[in-house]
Parts: sequence; structure tokens; C-alpha cells
Amino acid sequence: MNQVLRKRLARDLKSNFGRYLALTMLIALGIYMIVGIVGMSEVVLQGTENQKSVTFVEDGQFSVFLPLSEKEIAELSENNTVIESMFYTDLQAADGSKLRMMKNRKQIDLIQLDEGRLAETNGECVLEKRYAAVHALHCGDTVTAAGTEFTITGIGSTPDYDQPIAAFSDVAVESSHFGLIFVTESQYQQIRDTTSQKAEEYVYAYRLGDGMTSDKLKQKIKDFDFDYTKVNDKYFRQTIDEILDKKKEMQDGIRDLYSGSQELSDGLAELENYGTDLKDAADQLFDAYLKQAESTLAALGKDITLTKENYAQELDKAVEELDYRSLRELKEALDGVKAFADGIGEYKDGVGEAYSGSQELSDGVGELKKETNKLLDEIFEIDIDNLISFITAEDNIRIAAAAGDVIMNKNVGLIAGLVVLVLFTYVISVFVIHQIEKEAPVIGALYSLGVKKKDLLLHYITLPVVIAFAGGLIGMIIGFSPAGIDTLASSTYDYYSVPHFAMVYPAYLFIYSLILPPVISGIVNTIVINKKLSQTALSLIKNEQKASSYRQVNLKSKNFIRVFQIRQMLREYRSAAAVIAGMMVCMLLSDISLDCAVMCQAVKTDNLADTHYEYMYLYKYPEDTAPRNAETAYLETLSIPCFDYTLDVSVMGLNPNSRYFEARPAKSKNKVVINNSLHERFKLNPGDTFTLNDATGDMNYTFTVDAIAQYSVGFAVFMDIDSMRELFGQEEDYFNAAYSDTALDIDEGRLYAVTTKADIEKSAGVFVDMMLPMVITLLSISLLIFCVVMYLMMGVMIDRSASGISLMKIFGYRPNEIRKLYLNGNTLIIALGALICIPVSKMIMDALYPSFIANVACGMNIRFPWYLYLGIYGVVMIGYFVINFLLIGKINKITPAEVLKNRE
Amino acid sequence: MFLEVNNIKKSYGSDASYIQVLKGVTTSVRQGQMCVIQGTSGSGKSTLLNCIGGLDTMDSGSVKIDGKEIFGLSPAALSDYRRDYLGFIFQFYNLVPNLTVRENIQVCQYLTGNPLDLEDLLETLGLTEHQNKFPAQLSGGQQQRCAIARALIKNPRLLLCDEPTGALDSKTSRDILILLEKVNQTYGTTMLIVTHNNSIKNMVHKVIIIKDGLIKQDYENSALIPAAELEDL
Repeated sequence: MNQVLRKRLARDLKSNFGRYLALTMLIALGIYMIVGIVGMSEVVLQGTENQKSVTFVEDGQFSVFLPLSEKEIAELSENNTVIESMFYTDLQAADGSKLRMMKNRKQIDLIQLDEGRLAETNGECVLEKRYAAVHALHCGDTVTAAGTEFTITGIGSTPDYDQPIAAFSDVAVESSHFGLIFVTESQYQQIRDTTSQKAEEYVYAYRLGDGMTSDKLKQKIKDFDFDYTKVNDKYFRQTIDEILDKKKEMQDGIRDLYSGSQELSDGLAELENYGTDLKDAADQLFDAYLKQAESTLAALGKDITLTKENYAQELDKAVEELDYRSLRELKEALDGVKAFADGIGEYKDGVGEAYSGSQELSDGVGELKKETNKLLDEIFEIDIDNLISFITAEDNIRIAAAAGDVIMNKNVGLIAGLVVLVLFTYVISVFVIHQIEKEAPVIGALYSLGVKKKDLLLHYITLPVVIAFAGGLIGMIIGFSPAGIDTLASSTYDYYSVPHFAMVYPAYLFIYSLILPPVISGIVNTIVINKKLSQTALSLIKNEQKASSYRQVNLKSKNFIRVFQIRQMLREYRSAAAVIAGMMVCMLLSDISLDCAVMCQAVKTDNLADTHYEYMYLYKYPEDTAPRNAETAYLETLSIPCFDYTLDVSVMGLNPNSRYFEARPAKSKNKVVINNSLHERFKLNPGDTFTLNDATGDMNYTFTVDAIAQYSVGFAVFMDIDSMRELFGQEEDYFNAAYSDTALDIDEGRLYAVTTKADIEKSAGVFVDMMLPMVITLLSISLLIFCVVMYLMMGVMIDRSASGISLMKIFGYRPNEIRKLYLNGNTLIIALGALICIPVSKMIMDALYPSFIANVACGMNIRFPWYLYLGIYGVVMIGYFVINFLLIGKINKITPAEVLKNRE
Repeated sequence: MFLEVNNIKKSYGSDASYIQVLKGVTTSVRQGQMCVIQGTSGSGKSTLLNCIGGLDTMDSGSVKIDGKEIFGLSPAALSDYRRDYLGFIFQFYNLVPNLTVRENIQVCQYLTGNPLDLEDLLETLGLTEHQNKFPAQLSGGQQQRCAIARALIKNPRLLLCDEPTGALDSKTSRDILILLEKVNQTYGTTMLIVTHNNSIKNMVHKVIIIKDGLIKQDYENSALIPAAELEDL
């Protein structure tokens, strides 16, 4: 019997070929999208992974002030760790763009050639592929840089410049302004020796050996002896000297103080000695006067021995007795000399005490000197080692950037695919139900003849399963074809500098394409059909329709047309639900692309509008005094986690009433003003706290949002500059950034980078151009899906109402009246549905969108202007009216004969 | 004559599948008459009804309703003709399943500027208590009465009934026939009833018997038997 029934399938397929073809194509479109998006992601992910073993991707890289010695390299290379120099010099090309010149690689981050060969002699180079593409350069062409003409022998890429940005602080790839060339060692050296170029950057890449870790390697480098005086960078040496000078100044001061205290002590020691002599002399003088007094007394017949203690008494007695004026004068003289000798004695004692004190002072200053030196050593511990920077491959945004970008696509694609598949299989089920209802009497007759439900169930799900399989197969084939993965991958290849990865055919995508659609179709249709086929044979023969299935709603309207339309809508709720579900899915798809377009445009517009300066100078070696006509600031870069990524946040210390930034941060070390980008992405509001991380110092900083300021360029936190200096332990007046309206005269050697407003405008606009193809593709696909689903479902509504339409024609209803009854009711469904779906889908997508851009440090202004909502609504309604117009033909084809068939 | 049918010919198919269903049918019906068109399956009776109702085009011939010729009218004009002149009753009722009884009747009420009173019609046809029910909740007789009400609401000049009792049991059939009789007497509606039931011809004014695409008998009943007394329905 099943064999016989199978013949029906072919005939049904033939008679409804257009409809089934549309369904197949719908599924194929969905699978194509999924295979394309997910497949492309897998190609990039697996390709990047495979590339690691082919190109020997580095485990990390570090840059140093002075090239490592052979001995140092040998020490680092223990345990099979591989170290290779990746020195580079930036040259200016003839068109003003920058070309980073490097030597051919030997062991790490090998060049992968798309075409040609490596440079073998002077005058040859391999050009980085994105730069070559943008400048329309090929093998055999020449490129001039630093006055040297290079013949391009090869075009390729390297894994350490997967995202070919000049500096880690660059937000976007700009291959029109930056590229890489790889030359022979001798060519490299020749250019270094014979032309005046910027300083060479001493970068080394490493691959870890047995038991070695990045941390251990880093420590080894830091432990190497380092003579900073040999560093070529005069500003570096100057900075160190300035720091050391300050230390030396303080040390000299303390040393002088110590010397002074010692001299004082010595001086007082000498003075003490002299005091002793003076005292002795004074005593001798007194004794001499005493002797004279004794002689005088002896001459007067008084034989008295005079001492210091008795002279006064004896002389007073003698004066009284003898009334000799000389004796009186002698006594007065003795008193005077005694007073003098006593005074000398006191002076001597005083000097002695001063000397002891000065000794204590000297000892104290000696202690002070010792401790101060220790303290100065601590404070001024520059810990000068040779390491400028150390970055592991995981933290290097240039490495595996393409893979990092697509990983979200893979997850989103799989989930979106599931949703789309369920929708399409539900659409198929609506057809099948309609078919069953049409054939209900036949099915009832078969049941009464003994046919089992499972046979019919199998029969009715066969076609949906076959259609789903066919759609999946077609979609998979197109998806894996150049029109699929390659086309979708073009946005990756047009942005990142990666080799053309080999196609991969992940097994799960085959399952997803070939097994999931028919399985989901089988399950959905089984569930839906099973109920229909579970009626009794008699009720099927009679084609009984339960009254409750028409939603017994008491309609009070006196307008017959309105009542009819509502009844029709209630009857066709299943098809209407499919249309609304289709609308929602299409809205979500189009919201992805519109959110992207709006965001990219906002980045472009807002970044420029919020940049009030013309020039921004970032110092490597800050000056003491601010340049004239410039506003200085203090910048630190911290980071904030975002899903699985870590994004940079610029912490900016501003002077009061900055003329270039709107923010007015309070004087506080933890109350900050955040920019609108941070507010939008992380939903931070005044009063909220958040934590930023300083990876280099391994410290966390927690801040409280005080206010939000408009400044769209990346993520920014604004602080009062003094508070920031205090927080980060910098001196008063320290600054490392300057903003101005005119170009400043700052020595280039002091600077990390100079960014102009024009640079910001260029980099902000990159995303608009890059994302435009994807935006258009997604919008087109979503509109197509919507129109097809709407056409199919509204077609089903008409098919199901064929008998009623035929009856109306018999009664004399005119075509426009029939349209009013059977089509115009859908206008209400679509209009209301769109009013609900547009904002709801926007809300859902706005909630999901941050996860789509988790790896990009930018704001998320995805607010639609009011006219965009109107535009979307307009497009939906126009689409509906177009479909409506097409369906009029379907109605016109229904003849009164439909009803007349219904007779014995 | 109210209805004049003159030498209608109608065929289907071509070449090997060509079949001439009506081979030149001529008849007429006066206004207010109930007329039965009887014949076996395949005799052409339904085809004749469809041609008169403007649902099928004739190959040749003439059909005039109250002097209005319908042969050669465009589909839009035929639609207007059905709207302005005709009412239809079908064997399997053909009620709109998702409209109530009242709403089903309103389907045709909408078409005319001068309908009969809906409440009166519901009362006359015994449908007042069922007016808010859906067809699935009604018996066969009730559904057919609803169909009759739908056809009558616009006060048609000519009521075309295609096997109106074909799906009903004898008792219900009798009730429907009594109703049709009452309608004819009350509203003077001219009726054409296609049936293969032999008994019905006894209650009508005129009998047309078709066989093999030609009218075999065409006569007026001199003695009508009321529907309530018909036997062997």
C-alpha cells in the first residue's frame, strides 16, 4: 500500500511544484547562511590553528632597549626555547604610507606566501598582502621606501601580524597607511647603515622549550645586567639621568650635611682644647697674683699662704689691720683675675658640652645619611633592566585576530540556524495540515478500510522530510561552494592579513545540514500531523470541524465585513502565527545588520564630533614643562573584561576646565567620569562601581561613576589630574599627553605617537566600509525570507478558503469585495504584528548585541532614529502589499466550480 | 414567462474526451412557480441548473430571466446577475464553517440594498435560538435551513436548489420541502429544484425530466400534493 501511496507524493509534488520549490529554497537559503557563516568561522579557526605548526607561531614577544648579547640569547635558549630577533624599522613609502621593514624569518612566525618567493638579494622584498591588495601591487611590481626601490618577489602574511596594525593602541587596520616588507638581512642592514631612519625597535619572538614559561623567561631577561648608558635613545638616557640626578642631589645634600656636622664637631673639639689651655693660663695668672699678694703681705710682715679659697678673707683682714691701699687694690685685682679664671672655666665647660652635642649631632646625621640613602635607593629604585615590553601570544591582539573575530559568528550562526529551521519546518507543517484537512474524507475512508495511522503518518511526513533534506543538501552544497564560505570569508580576508585558508568540511556541519533539517521537519510535522490523524474515521469522512477550533468568540461588531475578517483571522491563526514568527525571525536578522550599520556610522560620526583637538601627542619620555599652546593630560591604559575578552580603557587625568574634553571630574581618587561608550556597553550609571585592571602592575582599581561625559573614542575614564597623579604615584606636574589645535614642536624621539583628528576620522570610517556588504546581504536575505514566508502562508490561507471564496463568487461578490473579506484582514495582522515585532526584536537584539562585539573596544550606540523605525515598518507594509497584489491573482483563479464539486 | 431557456447546448472536453451534456434544451418557467428538474446521474440536470445560474457558460442557446439575456455576458456581468437575481441552495449546505448562523445569513444580506428582515427570517425558519451557533453545532436540517435563510435574505427573483434534500433523512427532507413550499407561498419566489428524488415532483407546479441531455418530459402538475403528504422521500 505504501508503494501505491508513494505515487501520490510525486503527483502532489508535481501539482504543487512551485510551492514546494519555494519551501525547498527557503530551507536552502537558511542552511546556506548557516553553513556559510559557521563554515567560514571554522575555516578561519582551523586554518589559524593549523597555521601555528606550519609557521611556528610565537608564544610571545618582547622588546628591549639594547640587543641581547650572544651569551644572553644562549642563556634564554636553554631547554630548547627558541629566540629569534624580529627587529624592525619603519620606513616611509613614496605615497606617505608606513612600511615596517623586517628581515626574512628563519624559525618563528615564518612568512606564508600567497604567491612568489622570499627576497633573496638586495632590492627584493616580500610585501604584506593587505597592503599589496589595497595598493594594487603584485609580484614583479616595485615599491619605493626610504629612497630604495624594492622589487616585489612575493606577497604573503605572517602570523604575528594577523591584524596588521602599526601599534597595539591602533583601533583598526588601515592597510592603506601601514604594511610590512620582508627583506634579506643584508638589505636590512644596508638601509640601516646608509639611510637616516628612525630608531630600530629591538623585538624578539620566542617559542618556549621544555619546562620554560613566559614568566620565567621574562624574569631571566630582567635579571640580565644592563648598562643604560649604552642605550641609543637619548631621551631614555636623559630620563634615567634626570631621575638619578635627583637622587644624587638628595644624597649630596645629606652628605654635605653630614660633613658639616662633622666639621662642627671637629671645630668644637679644637675649641675645647684651646679652652683648657686658656683655663690653665687663667689659673696660672691667678696663682701669680696670689704669689704677688703673698710677697706684699710678707713685705708687710704678714707671712700668709694665700689660696683661692682664703685670699679674700686674709686680704680683707690684712687691709683692716694694716690699712694698706695696695693690699686693697691687690685684692680687687685678685677678685678680677679669679672672676676671669672662673669665666674661662665656664667657657671651657660650655665648649665641652657643645662638643659632646656636636658629636651626637654628627652621629645623628650619620644615621640620617645611612637611612636616607637606603630610602633613596628604595624610592629611586628604577629597577633598570633591558626589558621595554613583554607580551604573550594570548595577549597579543595582532596574533590570531581573525580567529578571535569569527568565534562569536560560529556560536551565533548555530543558534540562529536552529531558530530558522524550526520556523521553516513549522511553515511546512501548515501546508501539510492543510493537505490533510483537504483530504480528510479520503483519509477517513482509508482508516475505515483498515489502513493504520502510522502508515499515513509516515506518508504525510515523507514529503516534508524530503523537502527539508533537499533544501539542506542544496544549501550545504552552495554553502560550501565558493559562493558560500568564500564569499562570506571575503570580509575576513579583506581586513585581516591571513593566508587563504584551506576549505574545511566539519562533520557536524554535514549533520547540521543533512540530518538536522529532516529530523526537525520530521519531529515538528509528526507532532502537528499526529493530532490531525488521530480523529476517528467517521469524523474524518464527514470532515467534521470542531466548533471550538474556530474560537467561539462573541463578536459584537455590527460591521459585517469586519466580523468576517475577524472570523477569518481566527480561523487562520496557525498561518498567521507562522507569518508573525517569520516576521520576528526576519526582524532579528535585519536588526543584526541595522544595529551594525547604525553602530558603525555612529562610531564614524561621533568619534569625529567628539574629537575637539587637532593633534594628540603621546609621550614616551615626558618633558618637565608643557609645550606652548598645548593642554596637557596624564594617560594610563588599564583594561576591563568583556565576555572572554579584555578591552583597553584609557584613564585620562585632565586639568580643570579642559577645553578639549567635556568631562569635569571631581578631585577624587575614585570618583570618576566615564565616557558614553563605557556607559553604553557596560550599562554603567552614576553611583555604579566598576573595576579596571592594570596587567603590567597586576593591580586592580575600583572606581565609582560620578557622571557620564560625551566622548565616543574608545573607552575612557576621566579623573582630576592631580588625583590621578596621586593614585598612580606620579609627581606633581607629571603629564604624558598633550592636546592642541596646531602642530607642536616636540622632538619625535620623545613620543610614542602623534594622532591627528584626520587619523581618527579615517580609522573610524573603516568599519562602515568593511561591514557594508554584510549589512546589505543580511537585509536582503531577511526581506526575501519574509516575503516568501508571507506569500506561502497567505497562499495557504487562500487555499483553505477556496471553497468559501468560490461560494462568494457564486453569490455575486465582486473581486474587490472578496479581497476585502479574505485578504484585507491580513493587513491588520501584518500591521499589528509589525508594530509588536519591530520593537520586541530590537529589544532582543539590543540585549544580545554586546556579545557580538565583545572583542571591540568601542561604544555601542545602536539607537535607531525614529525615521528608521518608520522605514522598517514601511518596508514591511510595502512587502505585504506587494505579496497581497500577487495573491489577488490566486484568488481570481478560484472559480465557482470549487463549490459545485461538493456534491454527490 | 419569467424564465426562458432556449436550445441550450453545452459540452465538455475535446477530441477523445469530448462529451455533449446538453444537446439543445428548451423550456420555460412562470414567475412564482416551483419547478423540479429531474433525471438520473449524468443526465445533465445540474449542468442545466449551472447554465441558468450563470455558473457555467453555454456553448449556444439563450437564457432569459425576466427578459434579461445572460448568454454571452462577461464573468463580471454574470456575477452581478447572480447577485441581483438569484439565490442558491446546495446539497451539502456550503455554509461558511467559521461564521455563526446569523453571520452566514448576513453574507447574502450584505449583497442587497433591500433585504428581508433578518429576525423575521430567523423566526420563520426556526433558527432564532440557533443564530449564534456555528454550523458544526447544527444538525443537517438546521444547516439546510440556515442555507435557505441565506439564500432568501436578499429576496431573490429565482431560487436555484441543487439536491436540497440529498444529504438529509426523510423526515428532515420533508421539513425542508415544507419550508420551501411555505417560502414559495409566502414570498412568491420562483424555484428551480434539481433532484433525483421522484416524490418531489408531486408537490411542484412544473416538472422537467431530462435524459441524455434532452428534455424528455416537460409538464405542469394539475394536482399538487402538499409536501407534508409526500411519501417515499
